[in-house]
Order: sequence, then C-alpha cells, then structure tokens
Amino acid sequence: MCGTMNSKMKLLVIVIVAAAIIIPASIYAYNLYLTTQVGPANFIPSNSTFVLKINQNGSSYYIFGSDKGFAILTPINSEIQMQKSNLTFNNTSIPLTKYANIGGFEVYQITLYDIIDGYLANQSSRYLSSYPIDDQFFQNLTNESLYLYEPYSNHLIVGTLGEIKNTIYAYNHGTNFSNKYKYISSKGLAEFYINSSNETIWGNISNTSIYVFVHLTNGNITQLYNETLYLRDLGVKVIKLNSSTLELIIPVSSISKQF
Amino acid sequence: MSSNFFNIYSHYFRNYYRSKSFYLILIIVALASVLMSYLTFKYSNRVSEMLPSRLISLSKVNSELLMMYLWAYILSSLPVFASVFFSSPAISSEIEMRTGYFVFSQPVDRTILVLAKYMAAVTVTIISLLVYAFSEVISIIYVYGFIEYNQLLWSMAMLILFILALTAFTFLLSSIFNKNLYAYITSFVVYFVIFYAVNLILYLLYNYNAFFLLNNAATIIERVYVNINPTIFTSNFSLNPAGINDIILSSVVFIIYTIACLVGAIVVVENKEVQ
Amino acid sequence: MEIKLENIVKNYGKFRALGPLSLTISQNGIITILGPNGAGKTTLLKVLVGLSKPSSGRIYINGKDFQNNRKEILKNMGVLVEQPEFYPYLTGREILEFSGKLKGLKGKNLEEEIKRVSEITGSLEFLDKKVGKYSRGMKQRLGISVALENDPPIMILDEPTFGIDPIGSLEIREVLKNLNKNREKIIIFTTHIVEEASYLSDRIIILENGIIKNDTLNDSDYVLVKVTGNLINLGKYQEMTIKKLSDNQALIRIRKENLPDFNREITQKNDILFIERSSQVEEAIRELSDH
Repeated sequence: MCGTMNSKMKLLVIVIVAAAIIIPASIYAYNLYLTTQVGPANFIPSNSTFVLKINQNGSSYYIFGSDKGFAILTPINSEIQMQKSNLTFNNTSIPLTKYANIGGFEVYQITLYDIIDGYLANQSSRYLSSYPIDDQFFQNLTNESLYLYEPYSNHLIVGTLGEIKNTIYAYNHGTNFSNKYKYISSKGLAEFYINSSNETIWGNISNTSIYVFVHLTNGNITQLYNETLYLRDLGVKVIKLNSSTLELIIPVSSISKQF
Repeated sequence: MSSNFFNIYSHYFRNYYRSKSFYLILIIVALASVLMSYLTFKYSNRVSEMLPSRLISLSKVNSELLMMYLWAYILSSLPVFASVFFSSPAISSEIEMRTGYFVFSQPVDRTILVLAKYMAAVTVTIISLLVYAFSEVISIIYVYGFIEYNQLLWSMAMLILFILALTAFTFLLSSIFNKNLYAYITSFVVYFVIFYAVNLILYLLYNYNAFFLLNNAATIIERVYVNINPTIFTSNFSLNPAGINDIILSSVVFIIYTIACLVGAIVVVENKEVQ
Repeated sequence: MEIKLENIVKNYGKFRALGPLSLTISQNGIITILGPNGAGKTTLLKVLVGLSKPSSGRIYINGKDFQNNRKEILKNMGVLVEQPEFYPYLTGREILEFSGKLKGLKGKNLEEEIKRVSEITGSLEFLDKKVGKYSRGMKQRLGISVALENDPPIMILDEPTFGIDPIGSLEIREVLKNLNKNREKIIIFTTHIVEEASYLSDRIIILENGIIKNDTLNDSDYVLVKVTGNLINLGKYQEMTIKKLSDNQALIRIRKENLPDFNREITQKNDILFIERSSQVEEAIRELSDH
C-alpha cells in the first residue's frame, strides 16, 4: 500500500500526523511552563480571597490568604535573615524546627511564643527589665505555630499551615496567581486584589492617588455607579469603564481631608 | 520495510563510526572527561564556593549534586559538537559528495533513508558520549563514595532526548543546503548565536524565559541536580533539584523539536533535486 | 517491456532544460542518447530514474506510473548516473551488499551475485578496500557492478566508460554487448564517443537543446561521421545536412540513394563512416577497413 500511495499523499499524512502531535503538545508545554516559573505569582493560590503587594526600597512583600488562613511572601534581606537554623528578625533570633517535606519543599515550624519570647529577650534589657514575665502565661496564650519555607532563593513564605500547603499545591499544580498577576503588577506603593463570589476589586496606591477597580461578576455596574456618584463631591473620580466595571480615582489629599 | 531500515541503518552506522569525525569527537570527549575528573579529584571539597556569596538558604548545600551539576553542564554542550560533525553534513553531503546519485536511485523510500541515517547519527553520538558518562560515574563514586542514581538516570534520560532533538534539528538544517560548509556554519550560528540572542532579548526586555529554545530546554540535563539555569539571568533559583514539571516541560520541548524537524527534513528531502 | 515518456518538461527556474519530450521505447536493445554538452542527456536520465522530478509530464514503465511506483520499478532497474561516488568508509563489497539487499537479495544469493557482477566488471580484486581509496576508474567499475546487480531488465547508464582506461573501456563495451546478445533487456546509455554509440546501439536518439532532434527508429537515412579535418570542408557535399555535435563530431544526414557516391568521396584516412546496416553499407565498410 505504501508503494502505490501517491508520494504527495504520503507526505501530507506525515505532516498532518505531526501537526496533530505538535499542536496540543505545544499548548501543554506552554501551560506547563507557566507552572514552572519561579516567582511570587507562582506561589500565591489562584483562589486567594485577598492579595496585597507592598513595594518598598525595591523589594516587594506579598500578603495573601482567605478566610481559612494567610501567608506572607517576603524577600530575605537585611531585616530578615536566615542563619543556620534560626530566623533572625531585627536582631531577634527565633529557632526553627523542621516540620516536614511537603511537595518537595522543606517546611519549618516556628511558634508565636518563640517570636514574642525572642523579641522580649532582645527588648527586655532595655524596656522590660522591671516587669516580671510569666513564661507559662505566654506559652498558653501563644501555642499557635507559624510555618515557613523557601520557595526560591532569597525568599521566604511564612504563614498558617493550611495556607503554606495551599501555596505549595498552587506551585506544583499550576493553580496559582500567574494568570491574574496583571491585577497587582502596576508599579506603585502598593497593589491590592480582593475576590469574592460577586465581585472582584483591585487597585493600586501611589503617592498621589488610590486607584480602585470594581468588576461585578454578574449584574450591571450601573446601580453601584449611581450609588458612588456622591463621592465626586469629595474629589473622587468615578468612571464607568464598561457595563460591569467601575473605576474610582481617590486623591490622597481628599482622604486626609476626611480625617 | 523494517529490513530495509535496518540494512540502511547498519551501513550508515558503519560509515559513521569508521570516519575521522568519530575519532575526533572521541578525542574531544576524552579531553573533557580528563579535565572534569581532575576537577572532581582536586576540588570536590571546594565546589560550593561556586555559589554566589549572597545566597542565603535554608537548604544544606549538597556538594556532590553541585559537582554532578558541573559534569552535566559540560555534558550538555558535547552533543552540539557531535551533531555538527555527524548530522550537519548528513543530507548536504549526499549532494555535495554526490553519493546522492547512488543512494537516491536505489529502490527505497527517501523517508526511510532519512530516518535510518538519523538513527545512525543518534547512535554514534550516544556512543561517543559514553566515555564521558563512564568517567563521571567512576570519579563521583571514587570521591564521594556513592552516586545520586536517581538524578543521574534523569540526567541521562534528558541527554538522550536532547540528542534526538538536536540531531533532528541539524538534519533539518542539513537538508536545506547542498553544501556541507553552509550546513556546518548555520548549525553553529543558530545554536550558539541566534538561540542565545533570542533568549537574552526576551529575558532582558520582556522578562520572558524562552523555554521553547533548544538550548534552554537542554539545561534540564544539569538542572535535575541543582535548579540553576545558566541561560537566564535571574536571581530566583533554588538549590533543590528541578521538579518533575520542569523535566516534563523540557521533555515535551525535545519531542516537539524531534518530530517537527524530522518531518521538515523528510518533506525537504522527498522533494530534493540531486544536482 | 516498455518505457514511455509523455510530454516531459523539466525547468530549472526560467530555464527549460528538457522538453517537451515524448519517447516510447518498447523494443529491447541498446538505445544511445547522443548530443552535445548541455543538450539535456543527463537531465533526461535523472528524470527517468527519479533523481529529478519533471516539471510536467509523466513517465510509465511497463504501464505503471513511475512517480507512484518508484520503489517497485527501481528494483528492476540498474542505474548508473553521473560519475558515481560512494560512502568513503565502506568497502566496495559493503556497497554491493547495501544495494543488493535493497533489491531483495540476501544470504547466499547476495554473495554469489556480488561475486558474479564483480567478475564481469573486473572489480573483484579491490572489492574489500574502502571506497575512499578507489580511483575514478575503480569507482566507475563499482558503479557498473551496482547497476548489474540482480540482472535487471532495464539499465540506465550515464557514460559507463567515463574515467576507465582504454582497455577497460573496451572490456565494458563487450560486457554491454554481451548483455544485449539475446535482446532481453532495454539498456539506455549516454556517451560522447561516436564509435561506442555506433558499435553498441540498436537505436540512437539525438538530443539538442532538450528536445529530440533525431531518432533512428523513425529516421534511418543518417550516418555518424567522425572527422579530423575542418568541418567546413564537408559543406561541399550538397546533398547533405550536417549537424555539428562537437569540434570533431558531426551528424550527417544524406539521402540513401546518394550513399554509393558518398562512400567513394570519403575514403580519406582518419575518416570513419558508420552507416545504417544494409548489404551496400557492409561492403562500403569493408572497403574503408582495407584502406
């Protein structure tokens, strides 16, 4: 059959079969690529209820979570350092305990007690030497633990165990914030993102203004637009971007006026 | 069809391993093996000094994995030289050396010819690198007492996929030209200049890691030990081995290159005029 | 057996190298393709064996379309196109094994066939040397051996005696003549050597600028003349049309009834006259040989 098959037909079949393999493989590769990137967005779970990004001195700090837990992604710098098995924060040394290897990452445990104890130990000579400290009291009160791990070089994620697990899962399975990073990628003092079942709110804060975008998942933005029109009197710009999205531009000066 | 394939494969394989190019590659590989063995024996306890001093990490530095990373880093460049010698002139030499008048007038599909010659080139490339792999295993076991087999097997598997992809790529370039010199130069320029330039531009201007470039995908050979990508300029890396997703991604890229380039070469050769 | 070319055209860009050309070969025997440099002889052979695809037209071998049955047809074809080159690190024997297996030979049959064809072409003594060390003539003999393998009913040979020493060339000519003894094959070959063409051919096809100018099948009134003198001198023969093939080769077409006069005129030394076979002609040749 191969011998009698027209050579042009044969080539066509080869090309079609190859395309049928290459095209879906390329799409799969691209999606896989997104999951292997090493950056903050790849560790923030996609279904986070809130994400806050604070930019300071060229570094970015992320605080994110949901009603079930929270975590902070922070660069390791002069304020936060790792030395052997201790976390050093503002000259306060906090011991780390290995907790488990979760999803390929070594997760460590610190207790709030240790944090406060460490802080107090540092501070006590200056401020609290005259106050007696009841260790038992603090231990009972602060039995909660925080967990941390190193997602990639020079960065830490610290948070509740549930949220730590969520971040590792989000990285390993690609269910992370990489597709939504555009909400918090503008350059300002801070960016924020809040997601609920009905609406998504995001924005950023600069020296002069706060930009807030509201997008309704279902329904028309018109009612909300009408309800916020009064803010114009306070110097706030209210702009209807489309049938489901509203933009508010709040000058920082108008806030300070209010307070 | 399969007996034709094996007949053609065995004759091309014989022609390859008897050629001067094969012995030249063996010498290059042997030289690399000697240098890396010397490095392993002499500097095994100082290998962690190659990491940036400001790197702060919770993970303990695994010096053996770092050393195997260095071996693999060199290993991932060797197939490029082998493929230039064996695969760049694969099709162009049939025209330039006029062996095409003989072989293309034989009662055999040109597709089978291309595939059989391709497999012969892959085989001889793998054989030429065995010396290096063998030296690596001996040196590491001698110095460290044991070897990370899991990572080694992954690295070798990725190397084989890389050889398949790279050979297919250079076959495609070879099929386009009728002169060996153009095929040699194009292979080198595309791999060492164009790929690197595209990588640089995409990363510096758009902060985009060009995972689809063959040289980028080839870094998985060393990243299965320590996930440091030498082709991108990021400060974000991990001392952990690359995860399974990285391995799958590079494997898929290799497979795409292999299929696309082989099909391209077959289409070109089927329509090629022997002149 | 039949080879049929229908309206074959081969273009290289805007340059027409061949065609439109139609040709049918249905009688066994040796067919010579003759023509000056650039006439399209090698292009025609390349198209015939699939090394080059025609820009238009079709080729049928024994009624089968060549493009769609290439592999099957080439199994029954012995091919030698251009001056052959082989893989330099393989021996002649390995080359013959390679091509023999592709033609379906194996085991003892293959060994015997290799021995047979090497003996015919005189290549047995250097068969186990690597081809990279072969001279031009040795490669040519190996190429003919490859073409002879499996005793194909159709052979396509491009200047088979090129690069071979004079004695060797004579041997190769005798090989071809022997192959044609029982008229069991179609052997198509090209040559520049007029004596070779006339000595061997049952039919001569003249190509010029890519098209067939003359074909002895249809036009038997012509002779091939090799002259060492100035071709202008031939102009005095009024009853002839002369086509110059090269500096010292010409195709002269004369009317048959002028043949006896013509013979008497050209009896000079070094002029060789080849004429279509007939009893008159045989006598004329004998006369020339005696001088």
